[in-house]
Amino acid sequence: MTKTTALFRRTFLAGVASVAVAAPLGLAVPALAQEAPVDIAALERVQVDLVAPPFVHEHDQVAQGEPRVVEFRMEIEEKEMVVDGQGTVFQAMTFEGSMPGPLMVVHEGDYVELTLVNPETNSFPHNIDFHASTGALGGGALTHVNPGEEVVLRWKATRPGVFIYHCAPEGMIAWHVASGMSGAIMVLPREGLSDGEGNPITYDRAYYVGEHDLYIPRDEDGNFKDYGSHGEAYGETLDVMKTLTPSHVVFNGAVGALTGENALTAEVDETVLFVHSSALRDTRPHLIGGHGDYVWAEGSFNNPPLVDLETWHIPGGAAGAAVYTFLQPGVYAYVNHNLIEAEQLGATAHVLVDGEWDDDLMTQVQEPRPIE
Amino acid sequence: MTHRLSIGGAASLALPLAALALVGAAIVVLSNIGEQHTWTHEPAASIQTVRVPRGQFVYEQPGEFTLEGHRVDAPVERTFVRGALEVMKYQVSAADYAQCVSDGACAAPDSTGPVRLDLPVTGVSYNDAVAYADWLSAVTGETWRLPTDRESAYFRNAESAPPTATPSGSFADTWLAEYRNKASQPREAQNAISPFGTFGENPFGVADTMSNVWEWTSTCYTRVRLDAGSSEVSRVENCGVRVLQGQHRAYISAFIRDAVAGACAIGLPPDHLGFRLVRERHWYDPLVRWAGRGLRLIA
Repeated sequence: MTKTTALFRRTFLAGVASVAVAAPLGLAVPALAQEAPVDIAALERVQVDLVAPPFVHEHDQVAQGEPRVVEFRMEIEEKEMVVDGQGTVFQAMTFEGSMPGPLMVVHEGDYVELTLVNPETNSFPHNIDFHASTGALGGGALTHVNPGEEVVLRWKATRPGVFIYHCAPEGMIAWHVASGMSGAIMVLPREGLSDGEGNPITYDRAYYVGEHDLYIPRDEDGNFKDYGSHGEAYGETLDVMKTLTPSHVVFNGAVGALTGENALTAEVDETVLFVHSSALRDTRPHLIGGHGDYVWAEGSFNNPPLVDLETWHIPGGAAGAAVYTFLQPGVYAYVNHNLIEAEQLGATAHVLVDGEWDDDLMTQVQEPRPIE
Repeated sequence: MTHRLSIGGAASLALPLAALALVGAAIVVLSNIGEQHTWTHEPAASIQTVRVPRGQFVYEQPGEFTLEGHRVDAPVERTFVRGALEVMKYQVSAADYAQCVSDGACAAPDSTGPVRLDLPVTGVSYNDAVAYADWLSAVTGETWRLPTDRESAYFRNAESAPPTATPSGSFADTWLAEYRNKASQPREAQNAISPFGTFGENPFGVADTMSNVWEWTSTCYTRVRLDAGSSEVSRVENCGVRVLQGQHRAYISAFIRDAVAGACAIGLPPDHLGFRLVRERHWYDPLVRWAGRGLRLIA
């Protein structure tokens, strides 16, 4: 009996010693694995068809499977766009023909492989700067394309969050961005969004609102000028840009673009994700009639979201994300809460929400009547 | 001692009576001459008017109506217009309005159109329209004024829009239904100011009633509460907001000259704001005109 006990004790001690040595080695294995080069050729490849804003292409919120290479293709289109109800013509530069460019969605650890095409019909060289990427001016130094050329860039999405992308040709960056050439990409955490306390946040639908400040010159009578081409507009547009006072601040490319028949929609008890970008000027989104339940105002998902906000601040040059579960039906306005910009310059979207009214949250106790 | 009324006695009575009548008439005339301004301008051309005969028509009341707390359609009723209306055939022209401005009686409009006899003045508020009506009345010695909404609806001879069935349900359902209804009505912005007659004449002979210029009326915005029996519980007028007639009825603050910059939250607001006037006839009109001209000569 003593022999068995002794054997057991020795084995036990040896076992503990082994574990004591093995444990740090075991913990080191993942670290070692990160430094090993990824064989990108072995990764799954997926091709995504982008959709026009304010809608977002189909995607999983929680990543299914391993990191993969996500292929996108964007064509640059220089075009005239009507930006308000008075028919004002704007010389625009766009990704995929829309202002803003489309929202891309990938997961942390994925590789974004973009084919950027500058058709012959365009007049200017272009490139792209992804704020989510690392190095070479966000890819700008590696993506110069003249009309008639295309280029392919691959970058690793290492940081989860919403980030803008924009055109950035040296010496003309401000003008290209002020001409509408910006969009955004959402890099989701692989486990999806979280409230920072271990609870997942999921959304039933997502909208992308791209805000653009435009600087359209006026003539002596105060009417907006209509130029025949981008080049003709350049000099006077630059003068207006330098005043830092926009003539229009629009959502989705035009005053009223997200209102009327194109208003956003949702239902009571639905959770909606609003991604909002502004490449030049600061903005302060506010949902009139609602709130930001969870807000990543500067767009980084590794930070726990702020909760229960009325209005949040998105610095110029960034995108932000906010999640809200609608509690009441009716008409909402999603605005840049500098109300001058919202009402007079165009920074307003409407959200139509169907469902049951909750009198507990709000009720009109007495309708307007003559003062008694 | 009684005086018998002889011929001579009657004659002695007639003179004071006649003098009294003259003084009375003079008081009426002078009180209608208005301010003793020296107007040096007058409308460039004689004003064409249309005489709209009395009749009956189907009229939807303006304003906001609620029934036990819920928004309802305004009452629509067949109503009589008892007397004939004399209304300007065309809207007030830019040239005529400019005469008022030259006289210092009207503020310059916010319009970008050329100043011509055959183009309507635009970029004018309700207050501007009233100022013009007052000036025109003083210059001509006649009584020109804005029509009421009822008069305007009548001489426009517009088909009363079929009442949209008021959706039942909570105020949110009504709100959404109104929004979607307005959103589905397509209307392109029409910025160009077109010459008189471009938009045709209605059966009464009144021109351009469906143009891109909405016309001020003198009617105030009203909120009416109805009870279950459809009788009025209360009626509160807000005369800071006036009713306009045009392609659709509009309610705009009296000082606004350009509805483009924010009169409606959804859909397209009126392209342009202008007006036309109605002339009232009084027995003393010729006397006032004569007295006014006389005063201008001696002043």
